[in-house]
Amino acid sequence: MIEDALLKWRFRQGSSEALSRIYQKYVDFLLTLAMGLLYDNASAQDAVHDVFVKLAASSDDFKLKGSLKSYLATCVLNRSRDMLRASSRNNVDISAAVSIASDDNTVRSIIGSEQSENIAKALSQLPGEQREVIVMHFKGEMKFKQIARLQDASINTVQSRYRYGLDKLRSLLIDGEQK
Amino acid sequence: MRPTDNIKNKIKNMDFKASNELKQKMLEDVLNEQNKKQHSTQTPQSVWRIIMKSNITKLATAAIVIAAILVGINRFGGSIDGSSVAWAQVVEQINNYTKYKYRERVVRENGPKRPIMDVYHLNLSQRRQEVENGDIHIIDMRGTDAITVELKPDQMKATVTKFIGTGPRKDPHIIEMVKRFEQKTTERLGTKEVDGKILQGFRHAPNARNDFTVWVDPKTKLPVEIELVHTKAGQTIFMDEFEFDFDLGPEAFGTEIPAGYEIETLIQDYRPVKPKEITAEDLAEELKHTAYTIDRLSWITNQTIMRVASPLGTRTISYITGIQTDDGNTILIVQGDYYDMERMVWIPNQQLVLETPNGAKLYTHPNGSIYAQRFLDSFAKAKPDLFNAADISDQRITRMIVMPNGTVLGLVANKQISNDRIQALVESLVEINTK
Repeated sequence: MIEDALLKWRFRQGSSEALSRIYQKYVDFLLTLAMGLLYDNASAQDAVHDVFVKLAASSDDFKLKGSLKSYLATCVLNRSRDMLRASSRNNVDISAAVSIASDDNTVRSIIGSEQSENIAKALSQLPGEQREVIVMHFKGEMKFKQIARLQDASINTVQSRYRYGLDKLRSLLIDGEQK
Repeated sequence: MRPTDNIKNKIKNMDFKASNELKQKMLEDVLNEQNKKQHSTQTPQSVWRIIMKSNITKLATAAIVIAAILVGINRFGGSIDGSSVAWAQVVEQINNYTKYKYRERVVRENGPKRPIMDVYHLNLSQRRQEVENGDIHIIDMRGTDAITVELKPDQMKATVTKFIGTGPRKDPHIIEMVKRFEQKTTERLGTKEVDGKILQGFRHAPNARNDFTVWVDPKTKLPVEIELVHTKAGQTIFMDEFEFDFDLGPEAFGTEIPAGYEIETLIQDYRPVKPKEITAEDLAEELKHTAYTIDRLSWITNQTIMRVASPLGTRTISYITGIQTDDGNTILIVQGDYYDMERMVWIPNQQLVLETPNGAKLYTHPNGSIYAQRFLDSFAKAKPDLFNAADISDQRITRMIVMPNGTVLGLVANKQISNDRIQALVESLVEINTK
């Protein structure tokens, strides 16, 4: 984490090398989080892209004291929530208009194993709050206390969501394997 | 292992990675955003961002958005209310017109605001856009090379963009759109009154992402308002103030620039580019600005110039002078039409590494490792007998050379290179004289 402290300091000074390093260090981690939350290749890319672009524009006001990794994970969670709210569905795919209109943005590729795809797909079928708890706990490496703050809920509620979510995931994945 | 533990492990092991191409593209955007933030000017920082941020490209994008939406209409849908005689009359009536004009307004939830503009379609391949700020855009997609012209009458400036090798293209056509509506599920909305006129509404929502409303004047049986709500894109396009058979003549759609305008020409080359070995004279003739070659240095064992498609995805040509050295290094000097300080305004904010007595300056590149990877990979594909992509080193670096006349060259070294050699290399750059 010493490296992160240095990166934050250098980023605040306007260092593009620091920003590049932050990006290289965390982009795959954040894409995995976004895929777990959104289960859509294009939306996950958009979420992570938006988070980094916003970060890039914020160097003047960037005063983070805590963990850079947790901060970025929270940003992805918030952006994913916004995107899901903007859509009436959870399993969204990018529209034809956006993909064609973004002529310079046709590079759209997130690579994951079949098992990762299956897990992300199963996660997408959980209620949003349960999905958040499981993704942020396992992949975001957050404690229930942190997630409770993010969800504005009690720890007990978060733990319940965790248990219900795991139960449902288990049945989804077992059903999937049996099929 | 308990099933729950197994699932926990599966979640923990869930792992997605961005492809190298995606990683590069996103990082470019991120660094550009940082550069933009650091500069008071809004001038884009690199070639490809210049192209994509130009107004003319934005207008092309707008057209594509509409195209995509209209394509969306064509693609989805069901059956129409067979009793919709009025709609059939609309189709019949609008079929009588080949040219039309409308006012376009785009409302976006996010992203840059788009200006209101009047769009005149002369035919399927030619249109004129009159923007609220006075700018005029001409788009001509009839030929092998599409051309767009952006006129700024208040500044007497014109930007011509040639999209080489696109082939003839056609705009989405409103007549085709309404024809397809006739075959699809279309809901009658009843009537509404606008400016004393009673309009008949039709709604077509082929899927969760697209929602179209068309308001028609029952007297003329022609559209008065069209609203295209594109939910996923967070965007709504309003089209109104329709005019059919407007008075503008073909000359209003010409791509010739009026006298007195300062002209800037941009090229986007869509033709497939095969790598080709060229001479220094070829390079000098093809480049719009000063071309450079390297004078013989004792430690250079091999030298060649390759013409390749830009590996940065800019739809431009890159010219790579590849050098092999006696210590096993591969060095590339990259040149291109957009490599100049008017475009690459971000360079002076990088770290100055070296300044030669004749005034050439050497800077770091904010994304040098990736830049180097791309060009080394491109060179390996173009000239496999000289360089193998498997030999790309973790030590690779990029430096940007700014010549005294403002021409920019990229310098990529596969392995570490001494300061003495870098200095000798930069000092050995000489203008290519084609005479």
